[in-house]
Amino acid sequence: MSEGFAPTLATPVRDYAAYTLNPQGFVSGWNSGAAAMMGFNAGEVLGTHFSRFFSESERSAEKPERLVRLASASGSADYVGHGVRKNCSHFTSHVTITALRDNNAVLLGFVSIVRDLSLKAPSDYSKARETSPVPVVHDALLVRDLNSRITFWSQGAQMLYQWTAKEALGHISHDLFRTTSPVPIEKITEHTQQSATWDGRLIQHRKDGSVVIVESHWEVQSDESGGVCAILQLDRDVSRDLTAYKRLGQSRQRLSEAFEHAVIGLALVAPDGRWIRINGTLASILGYAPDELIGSDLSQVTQNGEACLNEDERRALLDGKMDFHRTEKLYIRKNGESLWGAMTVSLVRDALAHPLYFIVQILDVTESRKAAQSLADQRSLLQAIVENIGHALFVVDTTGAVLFFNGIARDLFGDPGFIPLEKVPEVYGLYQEDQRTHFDYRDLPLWQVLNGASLAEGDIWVLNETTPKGAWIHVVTRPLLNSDDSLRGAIVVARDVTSERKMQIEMEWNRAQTATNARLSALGMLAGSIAHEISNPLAIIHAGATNVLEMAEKGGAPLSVIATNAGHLVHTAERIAKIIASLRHVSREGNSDTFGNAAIHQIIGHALELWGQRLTKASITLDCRPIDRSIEVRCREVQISQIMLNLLQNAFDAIETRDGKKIIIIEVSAKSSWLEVSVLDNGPGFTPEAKRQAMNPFFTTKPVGKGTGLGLSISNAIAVEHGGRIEISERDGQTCVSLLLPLLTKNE
Amino acid sequence: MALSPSILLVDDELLLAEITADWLRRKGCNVLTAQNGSQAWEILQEIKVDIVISDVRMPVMDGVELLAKITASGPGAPRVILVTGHSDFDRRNAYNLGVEIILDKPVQLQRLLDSAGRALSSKKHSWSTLPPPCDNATIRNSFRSVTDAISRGSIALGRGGFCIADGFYDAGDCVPLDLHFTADKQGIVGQGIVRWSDRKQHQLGVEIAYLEEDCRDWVITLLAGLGICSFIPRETIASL
Repeated sequence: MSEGFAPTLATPVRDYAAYTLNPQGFVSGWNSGAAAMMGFNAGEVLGTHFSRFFSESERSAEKPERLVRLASASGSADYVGHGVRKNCSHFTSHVTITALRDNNAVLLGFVSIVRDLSLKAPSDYSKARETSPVPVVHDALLVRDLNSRITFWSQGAQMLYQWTAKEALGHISHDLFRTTSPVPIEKITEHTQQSATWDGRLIQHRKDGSVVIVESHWEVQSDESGGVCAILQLDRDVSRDLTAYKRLGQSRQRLSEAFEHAVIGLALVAPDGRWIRINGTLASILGYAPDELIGSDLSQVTQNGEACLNEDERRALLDGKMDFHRTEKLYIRKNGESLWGAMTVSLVRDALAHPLYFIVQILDVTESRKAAQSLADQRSLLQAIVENIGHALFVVDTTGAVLFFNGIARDLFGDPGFIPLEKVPEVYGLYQEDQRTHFDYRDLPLWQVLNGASLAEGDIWVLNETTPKGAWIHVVTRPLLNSDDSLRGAIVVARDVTSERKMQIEMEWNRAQTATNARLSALGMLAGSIAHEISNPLAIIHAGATNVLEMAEKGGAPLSVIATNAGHLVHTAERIAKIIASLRHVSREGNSDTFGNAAIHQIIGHALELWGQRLTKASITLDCRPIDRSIEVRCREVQISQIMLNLLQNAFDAIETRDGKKIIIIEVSAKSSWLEVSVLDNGPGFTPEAKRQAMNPFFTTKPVGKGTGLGLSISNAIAVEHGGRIEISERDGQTCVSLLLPLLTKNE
Repeated sequence: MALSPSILLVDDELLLAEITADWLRRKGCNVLTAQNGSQAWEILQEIKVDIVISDVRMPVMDGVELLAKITASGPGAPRVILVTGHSDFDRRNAYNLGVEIILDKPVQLQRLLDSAGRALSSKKHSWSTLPPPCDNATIRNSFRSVTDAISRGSIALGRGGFCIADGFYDAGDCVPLDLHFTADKQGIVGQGIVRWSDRKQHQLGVEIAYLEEDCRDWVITLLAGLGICSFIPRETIASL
């Protein structure tokens, strides 16, 4: 049975020292173990106080005295501390002191057993404590006389063998224990008396009949004369080690199966780096038969031909500087394919912390590396897109902390750090429409989205150190959601709209300018006619006045002739006044006038005042029946007059150069709630295309220089502003353009 | 100037025509009136007059159309004076068609009478009256000969003036003239009035107002020899 023990699991006897003390603590006996461990021979220590085996600090703490007092009081005392050898070197010692008493309980002295723990675990004192959990307490100490009768029975003995001192004392020890030994007991006793000690394994029985295997250490005790008077026996229970060893065998079997069938690649590697065992999975990962790899260092399967575990890594593991080592490497299969393997190496040690072998796990991570690579590719693609979208982009979490931003965002705001939301307008220099007042952070699109909005946008004026000239940005913010639809943050996209806004302002200005120009152009067209309207009466006044003047100078003209001429002057001057009144009516912009009630017959009357002569001179027949004087509309009178002028102008242009009869008809009708003023002409009419585009600004069928193409579009805009519209139709072969306006009811 | 020139006055403004006619009659003119171009043309078929004074804008037939009809009727046609209250009609065209002068309403009755007299007087007489001095830069040019200048499009001559490639004057400007024709050893030297100016096309219509005695006869003979009805041609040939 003893050959079944691994030598490392057995305890060398030498790590015990035993000596006896008299009741005062002076050394009274000294064994060879003690001599070997401490370096003193018996002559040097007998009669001296045992405190010399303790360190200075323990001595000054009166440790030795307290130990003997404790042992005297309670039977035994344990202590782990620093033992001191003759050469003054220290070692970690476990001291067990047991009081020896005679049958009348008179204190005879003490037995002190010392164990050198440094030997067991040279590295670490505390570790030693853990790995040797005070086994001495369970060690049985007994003293036999030369007839093998038990004369001393320690507490440890009671714990190991279950008999009390009373029950055990006086019995023949090997009878009591029903000892089985490789050699007859008598022979061992004889050997002990001759060579002072014996060490060996015995199989004993406890009081309850159970078997216990002990490592037994025998040592003779001499009396003052040097004769052998007794044998001291120290038994240590090793049954548990044995059982553990047996179990280890079984679990080793199971472990081996698990090893073979593991889904990951496993291997055992000797401390020197050679591979001693490889499971099927690892072999198939690498594409070899297991036999082909055993004994090598696997350099043939790594990309650079280096050993799987390099020297530094191996040393670090062996020296305990690393608990495990993990690395990802490119491996080459036997067929030349490459694969990524994640290798984890850890060291297995025996119970005494001696290195046994490395366990190597290798996992094929090619697929996950590919996935990671494609993820990285996607990420860089996304990054490229985000950097090149031309807009500033921020990704912000729910606290407002910037998780991500692109280069354009940096150009606008510098490197965004974490800024509390309420400080953002101030720090980033975000201003309202007036470019002076800071944005309220609660008006920020970002704040709105973080507080539940599904989309928020707005224009912000940015003026900060990175954008010293200022810029208008249009910010669009959308929530960023987790997969469960909870809010993760927000995506802020900011577009520089500075030039856009500038253009828009210019365009608006231009539009206003164009409208004004169109009005002026319409007036310009009228101007010729108006000049004529005024210059003719002026010519009459001039000629008439010249006549009157000459009559006055020459004298003799009849008063009736002078009166007739003067009458012409008055009448003609009034005609001019009337034209000017009408002109004033249409020349103002009128778009800021207030709405008022106006009789439609008056509006049309003014327009015809300006157009009448012109129509006549162009040989155009105007057909306008008397208009009901009670019809009124709520309007800006000037603007409606302008529409009428436009409609007349269009009709005039359509037929002015036509041969034959030229007719313009003006019709006014009030149907239910609508007033309809139609201007009809017998011109060529609208083509379908022209009709479709008629209301578009700048569309014109007139020759270059004849019209701006704004007449109808502006007229329509004015009509719509008045709640009405312009309609184009055809009636009895005539072109009909109608202005529709809501009619004023009687009550209004 | 004939002692009692006959004048056809055309205007749709009846009162104006009436007052003007009264005044002209008192000055010794024989005056007929018409309300539009068409009526005037009918009268002209029956009666020969020296001068037609016509409004431009009129129903049925306007003044320019009437002018075109008159000048097209050949030599011996009455001189035409247009009177207008308008800025936007083509004066350049009217001069080309042969109008003597275009007057703006309201026109002084005496000026009307003077213009009529001037239109009827011989060129020798009217171009010898020294006009008031004028500060504008002289139109100074030297051509190889009249025919060469005309064929190259440097100048176009009319009854009462010329069209020349120049663009730096405005209508109404008076302008000293100093045009030389080297081979002809003659020139147009005197003073003119710019009747129209086209800066874009770089063309100028100039009525001759006065000629130095040295060149007067030569110019009168030259222009009469051309036998054209344009008072001032519309364009030099090159730009046609």
